Amino acid sequence: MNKIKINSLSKNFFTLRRGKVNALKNINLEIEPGSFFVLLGPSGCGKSTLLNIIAGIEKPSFGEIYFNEKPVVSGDNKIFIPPKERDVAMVFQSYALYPHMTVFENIAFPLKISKLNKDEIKRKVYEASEILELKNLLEAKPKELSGGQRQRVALGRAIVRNPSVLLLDEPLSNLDAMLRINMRSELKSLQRKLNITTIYVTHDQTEALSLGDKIAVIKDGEVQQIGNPDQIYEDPRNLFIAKFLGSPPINIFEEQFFEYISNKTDITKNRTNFIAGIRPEQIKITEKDKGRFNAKIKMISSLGSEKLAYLSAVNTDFVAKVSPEAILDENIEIGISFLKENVFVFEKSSGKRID
Amino acid sequence: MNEERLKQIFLITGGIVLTAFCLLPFLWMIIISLGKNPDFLSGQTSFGFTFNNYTAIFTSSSVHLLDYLKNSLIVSTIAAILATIIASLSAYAITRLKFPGRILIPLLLLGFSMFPQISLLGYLFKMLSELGWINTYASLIFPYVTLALPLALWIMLSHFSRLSKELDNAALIDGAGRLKILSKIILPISLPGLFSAFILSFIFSFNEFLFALMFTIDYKARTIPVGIALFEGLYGQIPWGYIMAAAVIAVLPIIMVIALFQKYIMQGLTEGAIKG
Repeated sequence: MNKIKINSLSKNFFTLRRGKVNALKNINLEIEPGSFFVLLGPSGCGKSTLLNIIAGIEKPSFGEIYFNEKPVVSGDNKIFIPPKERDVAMVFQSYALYPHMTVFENIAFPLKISKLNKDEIKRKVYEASEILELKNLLEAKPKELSGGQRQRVALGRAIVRNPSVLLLDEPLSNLDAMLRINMRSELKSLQRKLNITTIYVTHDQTEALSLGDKIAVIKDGEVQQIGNPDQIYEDPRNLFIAKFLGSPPINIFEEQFFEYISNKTDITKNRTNFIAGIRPEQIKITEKDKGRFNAKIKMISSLGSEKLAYLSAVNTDFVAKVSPEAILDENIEIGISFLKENVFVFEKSSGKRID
Repeated sequence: MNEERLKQIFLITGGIVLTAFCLLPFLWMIIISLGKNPDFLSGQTSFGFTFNNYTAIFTSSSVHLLDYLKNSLIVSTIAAILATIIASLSAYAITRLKFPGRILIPLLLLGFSMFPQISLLGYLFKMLSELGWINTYASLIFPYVTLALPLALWIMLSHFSRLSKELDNAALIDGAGRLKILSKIILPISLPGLFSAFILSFIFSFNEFLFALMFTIDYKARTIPVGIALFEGLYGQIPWGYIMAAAVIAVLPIIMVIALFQKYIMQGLTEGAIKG
């Protein structure tokens, strides 16, 4: 169990094609011991680079990282503790299992490197394989395993030496949908059981919301917001975060709706400078002319537990989540209502949320 | 006649022609080595099946065929092993470690390997005689390692660059050092590449003629291609039967090496490393 502190960390590098790249810009994070911390962002935002720097595979250009107040790396190259001395374990997106070794040998590899005696290795590997239900597969080679089983082996290799930090780099993205949901809950309960400080990198907002104790949203190498899942979802700091989280994504309304949306005069006066967002589940459908404005139902799609109504008003398409009992027909006019406090208003130029 | 059938006929004919083109010289070699009169096709003599050529080259004290064979095997094996080891180490460094100019190294090596061998001869001869290495194994092993290295390095480079770097990173985090990663992870899954690099270096060294001719004097270090070529001087006239019999013996080690390792060359060992 480690507390991790990241202090104004930056990473720059040069490529022939793109010139100077700022992969990470002034990152500041504090990760509580034993917590499940998620780094969420679109691909190419630098989240994997950050994970690699924490692991010790890459070095930062500026800034420091502390494990329990002890510096493990500094940008000025004065301090660099190599990965094997950091007591971290990592699971990769491709699993990175050693293809020529059996499951047993794969899980035992980190223990063998640290020169544990044979009986101890055996005991620990069996213990880990018990937790991950791999007991019957110990003699198999990785190529004989299914995706889910390989995932478990990779996890086994990570937890077998009881690391103080567990790093997971999109570990579920190569699994099919059903398995992904199962593994998600298994992962969470495993983390709770072992109580390891865990950092999880993903671009999947559902994964982030369901797994994380805390989430840091990253875009273009910068932390956009840090908070628990509810804070991030219900109180996004900017338009990017509001759009990135939620499925279906947040509805965007431009100036022509502002008379229905806001009664703050400074906003309605300069309405061209702002846009508004309302989450699909906050939009209520009422009878025609009884809402704030009228809209036409273009299409209804049923998701089983709920229905999505695809609506259109004043040349703008938007979506509402409605209960499955709602009786709605396509191509009819209905009224739209919502609570004003559920409307997010963003500055158009910067994307910053102002209301 | 339909297209499928035509295709099949072309394929089979092509295969036969190609095989014949490659194998007929070998067949000719074997036939001559087993005949009493190499010029039997002229019609004045008969073929006269015999094993005498073989018994002669093995028993005659002036031929030293077994010495040549031994020299060739020792020199080629050591040179091939050294070239493969050096190639693996440098290929790993070039594909995995960050240092300035690492892209230049394989290109420079490729450039050097295009110099004609004979342009090195004079300088090398002087150097080897100063060292007192003429007519020793070392006089052949070191030049062969150098000459085989570009090919071996390029083979290892292409194998290593195909392996996911996540494997290295995983092993780094598991606590392994670079040398351990190379020996425990990367090399075991690059066996096909290692064997191809070894075999090609071996064949190159086994067949090399020019340096072997210049740097060796007698059976203490002379290799088999030179030995065979110098048969002529031993006998005054060209002893075709002996030459061909010796050539058959010289081909055997290469056939054996390839037969031994071919299943490893074919095997794709990296399956299952990442999701397939």
